[in-house]
Amino acid sequence: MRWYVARRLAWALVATWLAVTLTFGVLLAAPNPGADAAAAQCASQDRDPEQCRQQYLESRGLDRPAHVQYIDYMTDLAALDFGYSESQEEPVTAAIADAWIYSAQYFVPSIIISVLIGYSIGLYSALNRYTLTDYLGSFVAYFGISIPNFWFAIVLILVVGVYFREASLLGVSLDALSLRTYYETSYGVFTVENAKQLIMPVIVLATASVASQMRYSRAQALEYANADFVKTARAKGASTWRVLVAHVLRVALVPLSTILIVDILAVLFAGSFIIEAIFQIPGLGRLQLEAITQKDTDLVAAVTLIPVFLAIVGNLIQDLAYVLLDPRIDYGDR
Amino acid sequence: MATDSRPDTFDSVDWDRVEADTGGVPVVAVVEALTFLAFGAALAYDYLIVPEGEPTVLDWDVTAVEWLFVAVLLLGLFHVVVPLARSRRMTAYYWRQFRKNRLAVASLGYLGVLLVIGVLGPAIWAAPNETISYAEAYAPPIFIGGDLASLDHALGTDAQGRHLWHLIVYGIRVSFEVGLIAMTLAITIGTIVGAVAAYFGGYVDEVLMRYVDIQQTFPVFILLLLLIYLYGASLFLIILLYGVFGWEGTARLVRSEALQRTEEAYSRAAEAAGASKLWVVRRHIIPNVSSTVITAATLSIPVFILGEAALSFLGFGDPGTFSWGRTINAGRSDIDSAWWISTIPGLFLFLTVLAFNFVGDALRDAIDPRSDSG
Amino acid sequence: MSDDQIDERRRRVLQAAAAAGVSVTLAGCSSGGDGDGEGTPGTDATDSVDEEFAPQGPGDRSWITGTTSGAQSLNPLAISDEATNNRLDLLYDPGSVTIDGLEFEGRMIEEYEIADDFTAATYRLRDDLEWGADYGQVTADDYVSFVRDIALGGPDMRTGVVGYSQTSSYILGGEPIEIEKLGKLEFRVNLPQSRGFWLSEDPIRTAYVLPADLIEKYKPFEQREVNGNQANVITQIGQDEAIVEGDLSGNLGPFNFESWDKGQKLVVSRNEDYYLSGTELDGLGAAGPNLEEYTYQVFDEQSTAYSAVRAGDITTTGVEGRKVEDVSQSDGVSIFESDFGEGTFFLSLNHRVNGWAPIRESREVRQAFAHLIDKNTLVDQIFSGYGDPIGTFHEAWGPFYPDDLPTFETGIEPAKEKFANGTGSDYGYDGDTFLGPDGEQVELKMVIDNTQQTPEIVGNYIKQRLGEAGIAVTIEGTSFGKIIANYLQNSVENNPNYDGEPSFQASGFNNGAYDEAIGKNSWDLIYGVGFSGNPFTPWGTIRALLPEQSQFNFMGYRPDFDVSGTATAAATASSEEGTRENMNELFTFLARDQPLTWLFSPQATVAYRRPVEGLPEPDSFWDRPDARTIGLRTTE
Repeated sequence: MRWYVARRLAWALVATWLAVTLTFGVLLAAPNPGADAAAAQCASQDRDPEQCRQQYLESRGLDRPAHVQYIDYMTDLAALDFGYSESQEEPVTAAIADAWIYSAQYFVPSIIISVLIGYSIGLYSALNRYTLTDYLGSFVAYFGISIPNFWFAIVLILVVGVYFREASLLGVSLDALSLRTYYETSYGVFTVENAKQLIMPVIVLATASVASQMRYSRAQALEYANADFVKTARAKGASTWRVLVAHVLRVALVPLSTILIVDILAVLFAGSFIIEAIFQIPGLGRLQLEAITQKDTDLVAAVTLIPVFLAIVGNLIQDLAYVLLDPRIDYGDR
Repeated sequence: MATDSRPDTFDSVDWDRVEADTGGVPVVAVVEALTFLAFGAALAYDYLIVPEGEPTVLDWDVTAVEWLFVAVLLLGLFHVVVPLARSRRMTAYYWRQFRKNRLAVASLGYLGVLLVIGVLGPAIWAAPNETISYAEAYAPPIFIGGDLASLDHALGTDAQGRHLWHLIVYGIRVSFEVGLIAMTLAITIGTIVGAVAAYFGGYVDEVLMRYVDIQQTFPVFILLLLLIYLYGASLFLIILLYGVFGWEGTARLVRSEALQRTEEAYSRAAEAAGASKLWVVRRHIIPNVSSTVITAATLSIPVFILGEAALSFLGFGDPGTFSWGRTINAGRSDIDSAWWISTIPGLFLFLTVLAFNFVGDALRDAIDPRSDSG
Repeated sequence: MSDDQIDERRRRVLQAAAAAGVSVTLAGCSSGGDGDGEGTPGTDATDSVDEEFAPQGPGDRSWITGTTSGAQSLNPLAISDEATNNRLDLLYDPGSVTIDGLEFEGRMIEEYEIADDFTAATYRLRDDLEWGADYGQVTADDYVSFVRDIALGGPDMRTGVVGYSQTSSYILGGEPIEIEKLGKLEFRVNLPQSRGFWLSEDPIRTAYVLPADLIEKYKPFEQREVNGNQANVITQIGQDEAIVEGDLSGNLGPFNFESWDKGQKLVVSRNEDYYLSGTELDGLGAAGPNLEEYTYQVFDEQSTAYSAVRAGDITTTGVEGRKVEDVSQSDGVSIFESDFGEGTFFLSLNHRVNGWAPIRESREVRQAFAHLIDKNTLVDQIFSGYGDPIGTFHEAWGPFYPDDLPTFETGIEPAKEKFANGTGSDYGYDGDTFLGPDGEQVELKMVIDNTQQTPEIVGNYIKQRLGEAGIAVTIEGTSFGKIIANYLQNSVENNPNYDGEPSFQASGFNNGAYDEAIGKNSWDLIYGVGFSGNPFTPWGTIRALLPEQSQFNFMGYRPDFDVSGTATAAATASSEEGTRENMNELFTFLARDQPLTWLFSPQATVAYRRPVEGLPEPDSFWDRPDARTIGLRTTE
C-alpha cells in the first residue's frame, strides 16, 4: 500500500513535468500575433518593422531558440524559481499569489454553497421521487446550469447594479438593494463591502455548480434507496433521516467522494474566466487567458503546472478514499 | 416450447432464437455493416469527387460536421433504437418507468419537436443571412410592440435585421450536432477505457489511468487556441476537441463504478463459468454501469452545448455557423436595450438543456435495474 | 491624453473593428475623461470650488475613468500605444501643449523661437522644474542627452538606440537634426530642412525626456540581463527603480504615482508640488488638478463599463456611438459629444496581382465602389449617426478637407455603369449578373476581422450591395493577427509566377512591386485596417501608406501622381497657403482616384456620470475634456 502511494506520488511529479513540457511545446509552436502586430505598428510609423518585431521578441525572451528557452526554464524550475512574467511585470509567484486571492474569494463560497444546496436537494429528491417538491428541486438545481453564465452575469449587473439604483417598487426605492457593478480591488478581503460585491459572482458560479452536485448525490442515493439493507432499516423503524445518514450516505460516499474531492481541489486553484472578465476580478482565470494570449511563457508554464500537480495528487487522494470507504477494494495487489 | 400465452420465464426462453443467425453473424450486424459501407461510400463521394464548395446533393453542401452527425444518428439507430425495438417487453417496461416522470415526458416531447424543426426547418425558412435588412435592425418581438415590431419577424431582429426565429431554427441543428457528436465520442471512449481499466486491473489499469491523469490536466485550452489559430475556428474542430478531450471524467466515473461491479457476485460467477475477460467486460460490466454512463451522457450533452456558447464568448466560436451561443454572444452588448437578441435564444437554450437533464434523470431511473418500480 | 501628444509620426494601425472600440480608444485618447478642467469662462467658479465631491470608492478616490485597454508599461521611452500615453500624461508634462491648431502653450518649455527661414529653433526651459528621485533640476543637458543618446543614439547617429521607436521624427529628409546646448536652460535645434510646420511636428515638444544622469548610468549601451532575459537599453532604463516606483516625476506632472496593476488599474494622487498648480492659464482659470485621486480602471467587458458609468461606480468612460442613447438613459449621465473625432475608415482594395485585376487597372472600377457604398447607411448602422462620410483620406472636419471634392452619387445604377465601362469587353452584364471573361459571375473575396461585430456588419452590407450590382462576394472572417500575417504581409516567395529578386523592398508589408510580392492568400477587399495620425499634419500618414515604395503600402498601389513629393512639399512649405494648396491637390487626387474606398470618420462621444464641471465647448479638435490641464471636477 505504501509502495503504491509512493509510486503514485512519483508519478505526480513525472506527469507534471510531462504536462509542462507539452504546454511549452504547444506554446512555442504557436505563431506570435503580438510580434506581427508590433511589426505592423512600426511599418506604419516609418520604422523598420523587422527591428520592432525583434525588439518585441527579445524583450520577452522569445527570440531564443526553443530548446534554450525550455532548458532555461526547467533549470530555473528545479531551483523553484518560477521566473518573471512580462505580461504582469512582476515575478510569476507574485502574480499568481495576487490572482489566487481574488479567485478564492468567490470560488470557495460558491463551492460550499453549491455543495450544501446540491446535496440537500439531491438526497431529499432521491427519497421523494416524482413529487412536486422533487420537480421543483430539480428545476431549481438545473436552472443555474442551463443558462449561459455570461448572459446571467451581465443581466444581474444590469438589474441589480443599474436598475435597482434607479427604480422603486411600490414607492420604496430599491437603491439599498443594489450592488456594485464591478469588483473594486481596494477593499480588504474580510470587509463588508467586499462581501457585498462578491454576492453576484458567487451567485452566478454557485448556481452553475448546484446541478452537478445535486445530480450525483441523488443518483447515488437512489442506487441504494431501495436496496435491501435500506428496506430492512425502514422495517426496523428507522426514520428517513437516519436511513439517509447512517445507511445510504455511507455507501454512497464512495463515488460521491469522486466529486467532492475534485471539488475541493478545484477550489484550490481555479478561476472562471467568464466571471472574472465580466465582473472585472483580477483572478486566476483572467491570468491564465492573458498569459496564453500574450505568450508569457513563464506564467503559462506555472499556471499549467500547479493545477496539473494538484489534480494528480487529488486523483491519488480519491483513489485512497475508495480503499478507505469500500472495504471490498484493495490496492494491495495492484 | 410454449412461449405464446405464458409470459417469458427463464426456462422457457429459446436461447437459439434469441439471436437469429446468418452464417454465424447476427442479421442486425450485417445490416449495420452494410449501412455504414453505404455511408462510407457517400462520404468518399463527397470528399473525393464533388469539388469544394459545390452542393453534394440537391442544394445541400454537406459539411464535415453534418457527416459526423449522420454517422452518430446511424449509430444511435443501430445501437439504441434497434435493440429497443427488438426487445419489446423491455422497452415497454422502460417506457412505463419513464412515464412516471411527467416532466421528463414533456421534455422528451419538446426535444422531439425541436429536432424535427431543426432538421426540416432550413428547408422552410431562409438562412439568417438572407434576412439581413438594416432598415429592420433591432426590431422588438411582437409581444413587446413598438414601431418596428411586425408579424414578419415575430421574435424580433438582431443588429443587422436578421430574423431571430431563423437564427433559432438554424441554431437547433448546430446545438444538436455539438451535443450529440461530442457526447458520443466522449462517452464511447470514456466507457471503454474506464471499464477495461477497472476490470483488467494491474498494468493495464495503471497505464490507462495515468494517461487519464495527464489528459485530464492537460491544458486543452492552449491546444484549442493553437489549433484555432492554425486552422481557423470551426465547428468541426470544436466538436472534435470536446469529444476527444472530454472523456476523462466519464472514464474515472465508469472505473469507480466498475471497480465495485468487478467484485460483485455475477462477475465472479461469469469468470468461474469460463467467460473471457472481454466477454465479461462487454456483457456484464458495461451494461451494469450503464446507468452511470447514461447519467454521464445526458449530463454531458448540455455541457458541450453550453461550452460552445462559452467559446463564442471568448471569440473562438465558429463564425460561419449560427449556433445559439453565437447569437447570444453577439447580443450581449445590447442586453440593456435590445435584450431579446440574447434572451430569446437563451430561453431556447435553457429549455433544451433543462429538457436533456430531465430526460437523462428519468432514463436513469427507468433503466437502472436496481431501482424499484415503486 | 492630450491631442498635442499626437505626434505627427505616430500613426496607429487601427483595428477598424474596434470601430465600436474606436470611439472607446479614441475616447481613451480624446475623452477618456482625463478631466482637464478648463473652467469654462462663465461658470460660476466660486460655487463649485466649495462643493465636496462624494467619493465613489473606498478612501478618497474621487475620479475613476473606465477604459478597455491598459497601459503596456510606464516607461516614458517605450510608448507604443494610446493608453500608455494617457497614463504617462498624468505623471509627466510635455514640453508644450496645443491650444488650437498652431497655437501652443508652454509647459516645460517656457519659450520657443523659430528662425525666419525655419531651419533652427531655440528652446528655453522653465527654471523651476525638478526631477524626483534626487535627480535635481531639469536642464538643457537632459534634452541634449536625450536627443543625442537615445533618439539618435545609434551607432551612426541616424538611428535611435535599439528599441526606441520615435527616431524617424528626428530625421528630416534623411538627415538627423542637430541639438546644441546654449546655456543651463537653453538649447538650439538645427534642422537639415526648412520646416514651416516644425512647431506642430516637433517631437521634442512632446517627448518625455529623462535626466541626463539617469541615462549616463546605463552607458555604455549594451545588452544586459533584466528579469531573466537579455534586454536592450530601453528596457533596462524602463526597469530602473526611479521609473518603476514612479518617483521620477518630481514636480513635473499633475499627479504622483500611487500604484499600478498592469492591465487592471492605475492609481495616481494629486501632486501638491506641481509646478503649474494655481497658475492662471488663458481662458482656463487656475490650473488644476482639482482631484485628490485619479484612477484608470480597465474593463475587459465593455458592457460592464457601461453599467458602471450608469450606476455611478465610475466617473467616465468612452461610449460607442450606437450605445450613446442607451447609456444616457440613466439619471445623471451626460454625454460629451464632439464632431472632431480622429481617424479615417476605409475599405482596402487589392492592387496586387493576387487580387481582381480591374481594381488596379481601372480608376472607373474603383470609383464604382464609391458609388455603391452608401456611407450614410454605414454611419447610421455602426455609429448611430456619430460619424461623417468622407470622400478622401482625411477627417470630414479636417483642416485640409477640400471644399469641392469630386463626389460619387450613391446608387446601384451608376456603380453598374462604371463596373461595365471600366472593365472593357471581357466583362459584361447578363441581366443582373456581372460576368467575367470566363463567362461566370465575378466573385470577390472580402476579408474581415471577425472577432468583432462591426466588421461583420460592414462586410454583410458590402456583400449585399455588390450582390445588387451583380457581383458575388465571399466573406472570410479571421483574426486581426492573421490578417496581418496572411494578407498584409507580402513577399515574392508567395508568387509562383515571379522568379528572382524584387525590384525594391520597403518592408515586410511592401516587399516588392505589385506584380512581384504578394500575400500568402489572395484577397480583393479587406475591412478592418485603419489609420489615425495627426489630422493637422496628415502628410506623415500619407507618405507611409500611399507612395508605391512606402513602408506600409500593402495594397500595392501605384499612384500616377507624385504623392510623396506633394506631401513633402506640403510639410516643408514656407507658408500655410503653400501647405494648404499642396494638400488640397493631393486630397482631390485621392478623391478622384479612390485607391482605397474612403468611408467615414467618427465623432467622439464620452459619457460622464454626475455633472462634471469644466467640460469645454467642443468647437474644435483641441477642445477635449483633458486638453490642457486636469481640472475637471464633479459638482455633486
